[in-house]
Amino acid sequence: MHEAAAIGQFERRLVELGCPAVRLREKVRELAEHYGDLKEAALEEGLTESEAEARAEAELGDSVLLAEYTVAAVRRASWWGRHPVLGFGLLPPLAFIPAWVICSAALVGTCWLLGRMFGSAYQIDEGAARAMTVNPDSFRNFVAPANEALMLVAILLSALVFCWLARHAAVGMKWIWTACLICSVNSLVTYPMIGPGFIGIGFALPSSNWFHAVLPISVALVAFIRQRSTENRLASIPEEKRLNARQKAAGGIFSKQSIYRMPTYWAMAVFAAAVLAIVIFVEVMSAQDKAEHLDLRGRVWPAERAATLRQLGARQSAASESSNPIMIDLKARVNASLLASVDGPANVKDNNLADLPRGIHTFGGVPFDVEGRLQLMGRNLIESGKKFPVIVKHIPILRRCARLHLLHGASAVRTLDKKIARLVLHYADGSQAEIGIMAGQDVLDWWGPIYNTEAGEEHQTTSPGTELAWAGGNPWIKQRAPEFSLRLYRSTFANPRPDLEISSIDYVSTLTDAAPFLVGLTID
Amino acid sequence: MRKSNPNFLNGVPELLVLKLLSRREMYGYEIVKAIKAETHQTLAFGEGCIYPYLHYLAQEKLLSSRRKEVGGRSRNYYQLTRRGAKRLEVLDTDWNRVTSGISLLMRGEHA
Repeated sequence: MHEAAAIGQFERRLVELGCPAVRLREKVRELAEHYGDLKEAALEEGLTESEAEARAEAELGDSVLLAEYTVAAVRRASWWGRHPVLGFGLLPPLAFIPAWVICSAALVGTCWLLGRMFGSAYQIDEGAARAMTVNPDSFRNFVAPANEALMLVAILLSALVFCWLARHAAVGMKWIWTACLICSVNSLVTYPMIGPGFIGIGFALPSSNWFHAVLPISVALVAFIRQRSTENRLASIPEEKRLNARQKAAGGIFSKQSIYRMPTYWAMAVFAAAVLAIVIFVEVMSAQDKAEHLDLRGRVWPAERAATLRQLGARQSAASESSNPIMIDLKARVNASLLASVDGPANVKDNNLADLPRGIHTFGGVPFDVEGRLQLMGRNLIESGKKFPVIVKHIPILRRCARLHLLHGASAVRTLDKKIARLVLHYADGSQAEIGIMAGQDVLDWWGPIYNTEAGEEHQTTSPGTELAWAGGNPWIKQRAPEFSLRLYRSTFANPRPDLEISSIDYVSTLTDAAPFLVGLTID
Repeated sequence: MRKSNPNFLNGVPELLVLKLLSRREMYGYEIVKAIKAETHQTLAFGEGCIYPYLHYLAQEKLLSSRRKEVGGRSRNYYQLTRRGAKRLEVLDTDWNRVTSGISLLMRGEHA
């Protein structure tokens, strides 16, 4: 604390107004030197010590007002000081995304550097990375902890940056609290999403990640406590003097009114208004979308689902369209029960076809004998550790036929118009023919919509010989995607050589991402 | 012709400081004394008021400052930058234009 009350009060007011520490020391020192010079000059004129001090203080002017002017000059000189509403009110929510990108880049860079320095044990193996990108669950499990850590660092970083900027521009505690509270609210409703092949930012209502919200508030609290403890060590200022100085400063040099005359102030005001208008517009559109989505989920989709199920029921109870159908007994080739999970994480046991009726039933106008699944491999299953054959050989037929009817499905169908499986027909004369099963044309992913409105362009198969034959559910789909249904398709293929007896058929996977399965085979 | 005159009254301290520092580097107390002496005490103000201006001009890069020890005492000396010199030229021209305009009016040469 300075011996001269004027200098002490000057320093105290600078601290109160949020002057950064380095500048504060420099300014106090400079003013103290000036005071010393004035006092020395007065002493040289023969005044006593106390008279010299009184004269020096008088000549220096109101030190509290001087602090107001000094801080106003600092604010005026910086963009953040001239536009605190924009800088500390509007930018904090936008800063989270770049902060998160910077942190992610730093993490990736660190992994790369560690890999270069200490070998591949510190890097993600290429095979593992590819496996993760085709399996959303294992990818999520891998990314979630890293993403959580990145979010915490990004939240902390953005709060610290705004706190530092507020200190640097000397805008005071008010704007530190504003920026940190906005960062806090933003961290509750914003979250980065990392999935296989995409990165995005999501917004949700405040959830359980309250810890994120505490970080920016803690930053503001630390700044507040530091400022208060510094203030308490300094000389006090009479309230009347403080008030008087504030009033004079409001109309004096570097006043707020002078900022209103700056063109950049108005340019920024227009920009802020535009940002606000965009935010309101997006919010309104999002509210409309939500209302429309609610209507779809509550009214439209259930009605359309019911209509589809009625249609499927009608096709299941109709007389067979097939003349002289022969249901091939697949019992000996079945490699998965209808109760076993088709795909998903290893701990999920109920992502199955338990709802599919067993035995002889008509699906899509053709009778099938359903006993279980002939499951083939797809890359999705290989990489999630499941073991199924790539080929099921020698399904005995021993008959001539004109057509083959399949009741089938596939999991992890991500790319359409790709051959995901084939039927190899072995004829009695030793020749063979092949029938391709195309994603999108003959089969779609077994999880999907059975409604039409906003179901996406690719929610129906395109082959004229294929139709949706059965739809149902299981506990896992109800939990993960309640709007979706399980879907099985009936596909009819013409036998390329109906004049020859088919001795057997091989069901072969082409090892794309998709894992095809067959639950019924009928010929006629 | 410019549409509006510069806010010359607000710019007076800036003009004086830049003018004085265009001659040589000075510290705050010296600048105040020089203003008082050269204006024959016409301009009287709280001496501390010079500092907000000096700090503002320094942050605007019109002035630079450095600590220098003279006669055993360390002082913060301010110097005019190149940008400050350009600013002084503009202010000087504006000031001369305004004062000559006022002089014309005061002498009534347009009457």
